[in-house]
Amino acid sequence: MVTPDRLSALFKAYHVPLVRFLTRRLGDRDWAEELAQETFVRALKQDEIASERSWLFAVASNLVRDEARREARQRKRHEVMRAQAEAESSVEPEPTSVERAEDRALARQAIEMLAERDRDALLMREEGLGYEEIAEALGLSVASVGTTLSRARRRLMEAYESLQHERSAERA
Amino acid sequence: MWDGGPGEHPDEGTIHAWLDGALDADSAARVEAHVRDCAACSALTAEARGLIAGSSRVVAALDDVPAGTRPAWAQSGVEGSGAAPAPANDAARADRSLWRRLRVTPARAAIAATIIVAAGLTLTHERAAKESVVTLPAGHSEMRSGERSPMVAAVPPEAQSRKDAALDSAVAKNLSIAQGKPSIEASRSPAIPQAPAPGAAPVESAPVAMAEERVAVGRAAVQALRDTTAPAPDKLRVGREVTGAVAARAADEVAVSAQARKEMSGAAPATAASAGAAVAQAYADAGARSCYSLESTQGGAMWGDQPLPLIVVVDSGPAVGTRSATLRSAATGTEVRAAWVRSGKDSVVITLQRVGLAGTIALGPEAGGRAGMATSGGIVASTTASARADGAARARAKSEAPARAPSIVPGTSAGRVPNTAPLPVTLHPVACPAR
Repeated sequence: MVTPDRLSALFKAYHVPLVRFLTRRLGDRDWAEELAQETFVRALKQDEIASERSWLFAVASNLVRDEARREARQRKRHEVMRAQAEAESSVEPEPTSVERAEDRALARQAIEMLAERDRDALLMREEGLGYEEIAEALGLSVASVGTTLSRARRRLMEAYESLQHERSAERA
Repeated sequence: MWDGGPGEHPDEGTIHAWLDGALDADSAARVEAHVRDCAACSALTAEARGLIAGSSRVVAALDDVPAGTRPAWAQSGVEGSGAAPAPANDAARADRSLWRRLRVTPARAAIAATIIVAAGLTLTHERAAKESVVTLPAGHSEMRSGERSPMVAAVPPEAQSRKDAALDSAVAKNLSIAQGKPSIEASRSPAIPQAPAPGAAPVESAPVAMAEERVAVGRAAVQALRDTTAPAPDKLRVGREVTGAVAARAADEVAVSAQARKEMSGAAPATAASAGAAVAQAYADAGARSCYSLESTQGGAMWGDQPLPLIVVVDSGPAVGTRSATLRSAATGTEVRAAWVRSGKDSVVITLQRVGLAGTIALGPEAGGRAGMATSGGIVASTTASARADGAARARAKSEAPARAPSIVPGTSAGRVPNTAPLPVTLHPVACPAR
């Protein structure tokens, strides 16, 4: 079993990147913190963790997936509504925050358009996980991680630019 | 993986792997040489660099996210795929209580209890193993037979009494070594008013049947001894009104003294600090949402209009500074909002934010939990109720066994109703259940 001391060390090393990963994945900081905590709780139950970082990210990713599967349709609807609401929000305190909110909404929509595995691989890479760690966390071969990441990056940018064009056309 | 054969071009994945530094040295050299001489692959590489930079920028845009936008369907938590969806209408959402959002599952409760109890037992055993038994002045502790901790489990009373004696003596010896005193004596200064429960008895003779209770009581004994020697009692005299700022300073003084003792003591209590506290502390250090149980050994204890024990949920925010918190009574389910202010010296002051009531809880530094004093009072007019927060004087209250009539006086400001007596409280980390 993972000792409390070890767990504390794990927390200090990986809590921040894990929460950031989950925040990017979920779009909600509190929710991300919640799942991060659940991840560490599960680590406490674990007999042994060989590759800690990939294990933690894999568990976090699975937690997200488990939730998403429950109500995928509702989630999609909610995400779209929320993204629209964020983009159209007029209660931002600063003028520049409207622009940021739009960027955020577009980024959120674009990231949601990726395949789940591509999205997880990309977000893990952005958190500094190596190819071997990503492969272990997602059950991929190391050789296929590059292909997965290149596809994820290309599709993300295509989706983002497409959404930007749509937004510009709506305003025109 | 691309082997660099004649006429072959690396695929896009290989180029990304190369740019990500994920190729071994030989492969990277082959790709680099090829890209240098191949216009198509050079263009592909340039595009890949753009994709990497662009996707990083898009991903970074996701960081600026609000909290509390979690979709309703996900409010029922992370465990159990068959969990019921959240209520759909506004009234139902408004009715969704913190408890339901917190979802204290049996697994979480078991883990939290295990961590805390294990840490407490570790503390007890380490002390017992290292130190010989000495007799402490009766009444240094407030442990009483009539008081029960919420945690329960059966254990032979005699064995527990021996452990407690060893624990107390070990702490006493540590303190005496650290402070150069031959023995520990009860403070002679006036105690903060604290009416001991009827039939209060020294720990050595208290019949106890619950192991966890003994752990909790042992922890209280440790805290009592630590506080007995806490400095600056004059600044925290009974009857003196202390503002929130003064409460914070008082808590800081406790923090400083505790830290000094921790550093001076080789086998300091901190080395055996609870694992649960360590995890919770890690959350606090990171500024993440943290949860605690605020308890008092006094039956029917209240803070403001909230009966204890309270579950304190501290929102995410700066590790040091002000964060918002929600305190919910386990008995009534009612909630109050409060400000949680943690100083750089690891003391904490919780200030009640409720119309018509004022209250402060000043807590010493984290050491397998925090101990401190809670005060509160009602306000009739616009006067701010006084707050008496006295981490050091809490020790005097604990260290003086004889029943003492409450000497605290009601606030003198016009329009204020008498404050409640200062209440010794402890704050223990608990696993923060999912909402």
